[in-house]
Amino acid sequence: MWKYEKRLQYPVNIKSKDLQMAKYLVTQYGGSNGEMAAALRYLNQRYTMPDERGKALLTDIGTEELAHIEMICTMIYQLTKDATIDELKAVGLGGHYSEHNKALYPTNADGVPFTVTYFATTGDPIADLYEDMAAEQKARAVYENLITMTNDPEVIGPLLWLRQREVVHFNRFKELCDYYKSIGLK
Amino acid sequence: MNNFDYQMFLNGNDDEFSEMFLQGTTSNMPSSMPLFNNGMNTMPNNNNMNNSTNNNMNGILYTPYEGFTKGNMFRNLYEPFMNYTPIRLTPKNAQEEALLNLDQMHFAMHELNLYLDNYPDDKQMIDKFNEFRTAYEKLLNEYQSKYGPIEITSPYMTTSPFAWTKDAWPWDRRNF
Repeated sequence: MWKYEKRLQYPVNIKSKDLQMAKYLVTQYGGSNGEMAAALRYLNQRYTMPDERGKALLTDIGTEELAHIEMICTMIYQLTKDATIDELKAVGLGGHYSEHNKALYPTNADGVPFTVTYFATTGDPIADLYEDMAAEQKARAVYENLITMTNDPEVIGPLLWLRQREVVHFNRFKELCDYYKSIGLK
Repeated sequence: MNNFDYQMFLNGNDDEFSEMFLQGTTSNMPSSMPLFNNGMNTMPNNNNMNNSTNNNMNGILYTPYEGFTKGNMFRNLYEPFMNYTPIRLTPKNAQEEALLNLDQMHFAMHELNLYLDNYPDDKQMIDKFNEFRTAYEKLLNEYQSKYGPIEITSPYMTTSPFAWTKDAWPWDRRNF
């Protein structure tokens, strides 16, 4: 069961249209290292975690990732909502417009739709946690790439914040993984 | 990953942005006041907080406002990116301030939740979690009574038209 809270986890308030940045940013919605892949990865893996710690941590981080999807979507929405068709065509979003108008759609930066092949699950808690740690590091790296591609502080602020969440999540997954190894799980 | 020298960071820009927030939202707080001595004092609307348990946690945790702006409540885990610094969140009106207070207290609680998933026997952190949780519930009630529901279970849902659909949705809010 989930409960919706009518607020963002961290404020997003972008006043300047930037279609090029929106086109790059969408990869953190529907790309291989994006927030949708993260949410589905953890919420899918949690059922076969071996104890209460793992079930709790994957549920709670997976739930937080849903809030990150909402933040990224809000950023894309605010960056694009005032765009004209010509402006969309100029940055290569004409294809997106023809299919989706200005609606949100989870793709990577090249427009490739989201796919569940972006994440794995093995039923082996150590293997799954190593994937989770790698996923957090890759998402951190992508956020760093994105931060350096814009000068808008209203875009940089939430991206810096989301990047830091990857750092925290990586460390929590690592602690859990180290704990499982210490008690003899392979 | 955990070797970041946070002391260096604390001696740098951290003071600066905490002070800016203090100037904007609270009064009579000397800017030379040592940070982290009494964590909750950097948060607005905190008059009822009991600070007795805070001091021994200050080496471990940021205050809710600092932690929220950084995206990390745990000093030993914080990793800045290049020379970027966290954005200073400065509310422009009473509703934004109420939402910022709510956001940061929920964040502090959530951070301790993740920690306690891994360390369920840390009684001191459980106490801190409950301190944040109690403060959050109070802030949530205050916000919902004045500005509309955050949760569908808000006690202030009796008005017509239906309160849930009245206020702007988060992506349209263009503020906090």
